[in-house]
This record gives sequence, structure tokens and C-alpha cells, in this order.
Amino acid sequence: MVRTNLRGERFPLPGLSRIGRIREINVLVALILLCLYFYWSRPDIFLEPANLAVIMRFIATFGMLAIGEVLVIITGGIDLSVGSMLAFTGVITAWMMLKGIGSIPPIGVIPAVLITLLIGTLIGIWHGIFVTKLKIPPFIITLGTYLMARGFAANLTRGYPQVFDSGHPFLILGQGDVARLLGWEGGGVIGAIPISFLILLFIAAVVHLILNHTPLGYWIYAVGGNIEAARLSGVNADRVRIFCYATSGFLAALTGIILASRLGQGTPVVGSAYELWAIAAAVIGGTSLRGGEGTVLGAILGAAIMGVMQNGMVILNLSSYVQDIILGMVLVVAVVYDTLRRGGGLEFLKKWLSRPS
Amino acid sequence: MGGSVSGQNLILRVEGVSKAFPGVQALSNVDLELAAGEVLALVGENGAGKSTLMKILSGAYRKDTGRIFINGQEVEIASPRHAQELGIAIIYQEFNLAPNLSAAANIFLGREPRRPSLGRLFVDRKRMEQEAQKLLDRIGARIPASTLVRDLSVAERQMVEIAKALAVNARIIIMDEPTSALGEEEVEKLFQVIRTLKQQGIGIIFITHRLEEVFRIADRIVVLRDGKRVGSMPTYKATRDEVIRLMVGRELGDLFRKQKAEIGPPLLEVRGLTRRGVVENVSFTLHRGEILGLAGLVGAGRTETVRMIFGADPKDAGEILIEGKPVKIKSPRDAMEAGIGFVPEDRSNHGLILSLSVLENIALPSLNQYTRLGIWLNRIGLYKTAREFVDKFSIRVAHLQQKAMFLSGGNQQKVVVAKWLALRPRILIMDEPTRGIDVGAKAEIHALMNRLAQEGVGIIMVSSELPEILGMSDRILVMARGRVMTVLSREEATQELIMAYASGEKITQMPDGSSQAP
Repeated sequence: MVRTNLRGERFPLPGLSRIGRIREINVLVALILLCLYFYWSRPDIFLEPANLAVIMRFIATFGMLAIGEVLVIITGGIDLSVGSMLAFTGVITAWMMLKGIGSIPPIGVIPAVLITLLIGTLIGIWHGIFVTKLKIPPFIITLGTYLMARGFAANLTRGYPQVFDSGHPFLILGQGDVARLLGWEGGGVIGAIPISFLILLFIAAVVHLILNHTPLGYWIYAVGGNIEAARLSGVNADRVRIFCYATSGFLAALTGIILASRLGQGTPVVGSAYELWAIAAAVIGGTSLRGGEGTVLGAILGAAIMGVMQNGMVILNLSSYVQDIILGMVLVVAVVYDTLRRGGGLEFLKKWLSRPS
Repeated sequence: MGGSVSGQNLILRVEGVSKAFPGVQALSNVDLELAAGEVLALVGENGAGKSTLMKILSGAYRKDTGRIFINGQEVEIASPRHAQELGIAIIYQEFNLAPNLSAAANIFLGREPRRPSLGRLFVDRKRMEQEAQKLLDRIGARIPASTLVRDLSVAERQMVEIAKALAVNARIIIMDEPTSALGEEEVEKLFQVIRTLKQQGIGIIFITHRLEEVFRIADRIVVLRDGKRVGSMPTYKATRDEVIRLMVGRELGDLFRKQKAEIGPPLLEVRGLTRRGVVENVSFTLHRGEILGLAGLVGAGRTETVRMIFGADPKDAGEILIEGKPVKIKSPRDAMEAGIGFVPEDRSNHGLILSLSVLENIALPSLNQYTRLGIWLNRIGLYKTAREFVDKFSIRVAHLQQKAMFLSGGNQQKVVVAKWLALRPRILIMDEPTRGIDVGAKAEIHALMNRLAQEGVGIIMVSSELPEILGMSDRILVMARGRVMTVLSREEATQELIMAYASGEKITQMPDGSSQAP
């Protein structure tokens, strides 16, 4: 259910092409039910602006990474490097602002951020070139960066976090919210919306528009649906795939910068296993690991489910061990449900149930 | 040793077998007999029903009606496994071997001999290799059983397949185009193996397009045409001409009819197109308004030739000129910019993206023409174009958002054609444009081709259906083994003549010694 396009009101949309949308409605309903449950359990905490801000920060982090994963996964790939990229880009950006580069003195916030974003994008392009031109499996080349990026960050800092003074202007990016941005006193839920969440909404809108309103978006789905047919239709499949890896690298760098700002330090230990959470969010949101399917909206809803679950379990005082068990189960149930819905496993299930005993 | 079809040594008898697929009667009332130690050649045009019959014998398909006897006993072949138990083995063109395992491991795959100790948990590798070696020696294949299959040549892999068949005591071995990928010497080796198998009383059904081989190895020839058995004769009584006549002897219907179109100046010139081992020195010219038919047998290099012209595969040598100017075509994108469209042979894997909608498939090659500011898609323009083609070609879709996978073959093909016409190409390459689609849709595709030719588009049509080639082409280029054998005009071409060139019986030599066409 490649959820492409022309699905506006102007055009008829009966039948099977609607499956994708139904799928997202399912995720949305699940999300609302979860929120209702946690609100019912702890009405005193769950809807507090401060708590919602915690959830939104979580969604911002994993939503952004999941959008990158969705792009890569639609084209039939995977990006395992993003967790380590967070550590690497966080350290690099902090290092440039605090220590400078070599003999060059420390540089300002904006150039440091831009250079870091560029580095993230270049690493993504590097992945894309290995995958397309050298035919290296995406799993392997991004696994290489997974090891190297964190190792490089740790080596550069000798393992020590690069800590910002409180009050450093860079910290607004990750710690600020709408109230602080506009100089409000209080401001309730609206005022509590973190700047990082606004950035996520902006990124989501841009990627959504690319996927649904530009030739590039059509090409991404086409390459994921059938790379040979896409090539024979004149699509430059290599360039399309490199774009997806580059975007994933860019978004990992952006998330790394925001995370460093929120923590007030660039540290090589941040972001461990985040790539797996991001992939989980994408999959819960309906992205198929076989490629060809996935949406931005799904990625954000998947991240939201995980964010709300995680937060809810914390306010219900579940131990972190139990939290992991439940999140794992959610992932399995979501994927099994999705597979059955597509009809792939349903036949098997029927056969198995009607097997002669 | 002309194999007799009588007496007690008849190991296989097929009586009145029929099989229908939706829209086509693949086999009707076919009889077949095979004696022990006999080599039976099964010949016929593409689509005559050979493969269907063999798939029934090997358990891949179930017959609709008819009876099958093995050693006089009636059997109902239920599955490939059942066929194997009945002593029938089939060796496909595409081998079913695991390249990362040894020849011995492949021969005994799933039936590996076990060590008697430790509850028979472990494979007895030594015994497995010894047994495999015995089988390989028995057919005279000089292959060490421990060699990995990926290190074997195509011919050697075939030997492994045959040994594998013998390992399950096959009495009937079916070989589907066994020589299509072999060189001359390897063919001779294979024939040696076949003669050895004959002496051991094994019956062999040999499917081939190469008539010359039929006369070298077969004891008897059975000809299928349009799903019916139209001839069966001992080889010594048969003549080439008679076999060819039986294979193609069909009335040319009114279905395929090229309309008059003005043949203009040269549009596309191909010079010395070569990919080593696949296509050798192919040259031809296509004119405006012309339909050039590419005829030949499966594996003659026609698809490879047109894919190279379109930039889908790399070429080793060769030049392409459009309206007299050389063009560099390194990718499909280059070809499209030069005004070439390509309807590929494999509609569902290469022509369409089944998971995308009809609209998206039609729009895919021409998306760049529907943008504002170079990036923003004009979706209304796309919608209008798609609507226009869907209406013009009467493509039966519920709505433009319907996924391509839910369309019938004929409608899918019309979508593939539409997506290229949306680009307004000057040259359209169509590889098997009507394969597997019903008669009505076929006629519509042909009407479309006629209209395009009248508008001055040059069309290259690859087709394995001789009536289509004869009916639709202005000129016919016949290929065999990667080479151009001849170019025939519409007037001089006959089915028999084309078959003679396509099977390599005849070749028109050019004065310079190459097999270049004018």
C-alpha cells in the first residue's frame, strides 16, 4: 500500500488502495486508547504539561530517526548506524564549539551545527555509494559505521563528555520550549511544546511533501517496489537510494545535535540501541522491511506509540525490565498483525488451524 | 537402434491428456509413448504445450483429463515428490542445485547417508562421496564428487543433475532444452552421457529447439502444435522439412494485419552491436513508420539485443545512430532522452511496478514533464494524462488508483504501452508485446502499433509467435545464437523460411564474411 499520492478528495479512492490509510488509522486508534488508559490510571500526572513535554521530546528524537529509517527501508535497505551517529555528531558539534578544530579556536553555534549536519549527510552519502556502486549490503556498511562512529567519538574525547556551561546559547535548541521561545509566563500545554518537537513537525512536513508531491518521492516508492522496472523506466535508482541514505545521515546528525543540547554535553555513550528503536517505530507505523511501503505519518505514530508506552510505564512505576518486555511484545504483535492483515500469514494460519490432527 | 514403440518394454504411456489454463487450452488429448532405452525428441514452437506436458509428468501440474501409465500401471501423479517416487526425473534449463554445496551433497540432498553410530545423527560424508562418485562415473562424467557446484561449468552441472536423477533410481529422465546453454563440445559430451543412459535402459524425453540435434540423438520424434500431437515418427523416416512443416503448419488468421504506413527515412541505425558470448555484431536499420520484426528461437539473443539498444545492459561494442547522428546510450534514461521507449518481455517484473497504482505506473517515465519549478508535481496534469490514456486504450480499471497487480495481463500490457506513449517516443521497442494476453487485447495492441506506425513511430517488435511476426512486420530480422541470420521482406517471408533461419539451418552470408544485414 504504497501510500502515494493523489489521494486528495478530488479523486475517487475506493477499494484496496485504501489499505494503507486504514493501517494508520489503526495505529492512531491504538495510540488514543493507550493515552486514555494512562490518563485513567494517573490523571494527576499524564496530561500535565511537563509530562507531555517529556513524551514529545521522546517522539522528537525517535520520530526524526524513524523518518530517516522509513526512507531507507522503503528502498529495501536499512541504516544501523544512526545510534552511533548520535554520539559521534553530538561529540563533534560540542567539540567544535568548546575546543575548536585543531589550532582553530572554538566556533559559533550556527557554523558548528551546519558543519555537523554536513558531516552527517556526507556519511549518509558514503553509505549510499557503498550500497549502490559497490553493492555492499546496507546491513554491513552501516554496521561498520555503527562501530566506527562511536569508537571515533570515544577516541576523540578519551571517553569524557564535553560539557557546556549552563546558559550556553546552544542549549536552547534541546531544552527550550514554546514558552521560552516567545517569552511567555507559564503557557500551559502549548507553552510546554519543546523546540525539538517543532523541528520534528517541520522535518516531517518536508519529507512528507517530498514523498507525495515530487518526482523524487514517486521514484523512491518505485525503486522500493521493483528496482529493475524503475530502472527501465528511466529512474536513476542509484541516485534515489543515495538520497535516502544521505537523508538518514542528515537526520541522525540533527538528532545528535538536539540530544547534545538537551543533555548539555556531547558524550560518546549517548544513543545506544537507538537505531533499533527507530526501526521498531517505523515498523509499528506500517513500514515493510521488504521495501516499497512506509509513510512519514506512520513513522511518527510509531514513535508516538513507543513514547507514550514508555512514559506511561514509568508513571505506573513498572520496572525498566518489564518495560522492555512489554515494548518487545508490542513490536511483535504490531508486525504479526500487519502481516496477517496483508494476507501473507493468514493462509498459513488457516492451514495450521485446519490441519488434520 | 530405432526404438520400437511396442511390446513389454514400454515404460511410459500417456493417453489423451488435456490441460486448460484460464483462456487457453494448453494441451488437448495428447498421446505419448516411451520405451526403455529410447530417446524421444519432443519438438514444437514456443507455446506448443511441451513444457505443460512435461510439468504434468513431473508432478508440477495436474492434468484435467486423460490417463498415464508407468510400466503398464495407471498412475495419478500428485506432486513432484510422487513423480520422483515413480521414477520420473526432470532436468530443467535452470538447474536446481545449491552452488555452495559439493556435487555429492547435491546428489544426495535430503537423503544423505548417515553414520550408523550415535543414533544416525551425522552425515557419512565419505560414503556419500563414494556413492556420488560411482554415479558420476556411471555416466562417464569426469567430475570429482567433492567439487563445489559453483566451481563446475554449465555442462558439468548438468551431469550432476543427471547423477542426482539416477540416485533416486529414475527410469524416465526428461531434459528440457538441455543444450541451450552448451557449446559444441559440451553438447557432444552430453550426447555421450545420453547414449550411456540408453544402454542402461533409461528412457529419455529430450525437448529442444535445435532440429539438427534431434536428428543426431533421437530415436523418435513427436511434434506438438497448439497443444495437440500433430506427428510421431521414427527419426530415420523423418525429414527436416516435414518436421518444420508439422511444427508451424497453421493457417495465418486475419488477427495480425499490418496496415499501410508510409515508410520514411532511416530513424535508428544499429552498427556492430556486440556483447561477447551473447550478441555478436548485430547491425540493422529501422525506418520511420516501419515495424521491424525480430524473429528467432528462445535464447537467440533478441531480448539481449534490444536491452542493449535501450541501455538496460552494457555493450562491449557497437554504435547507435538516430536520424544519422551517433548517440551515446549508457542507461535507460539516455535512451529515453533520445526518444526510445521499451516495453519489456517480462511485464510483471520489468514492465510494471505492481505495488504502485495504474496512474503512478503510467506517470513514472514522464514525471519530469509534470513539474512546476522543476520539483513540485502537477498532480492534476498527471491525472489528466493517465485518464486520457486509460480512456484511449480502453484499459479496464476500477479507478486510476487501482494497483497494477490487480489488472489482467492484457490491461497490464496496455498500461506498460501507455507509460511509454506518455513520453511520445520516436522509436518503440516491444519485446513479446502480446505474450500471454487474450485475443481481444492482442488485437487492440496490434491496432495501437498500426496507429503508431502511421504517425511515423518506428517499432522494433520481438516476438516468438510466427503469425504475429509475419502479420505485423514490414521486414523481419531473424536471429540465431546471437547473430543476425538474415533479413526478410514481408513478401518473401514464410513460416518455413523463418524457422529454417532461426534453427540455424540457413544463413545469409554477407560479402564481407559477417552475418550483417543490409
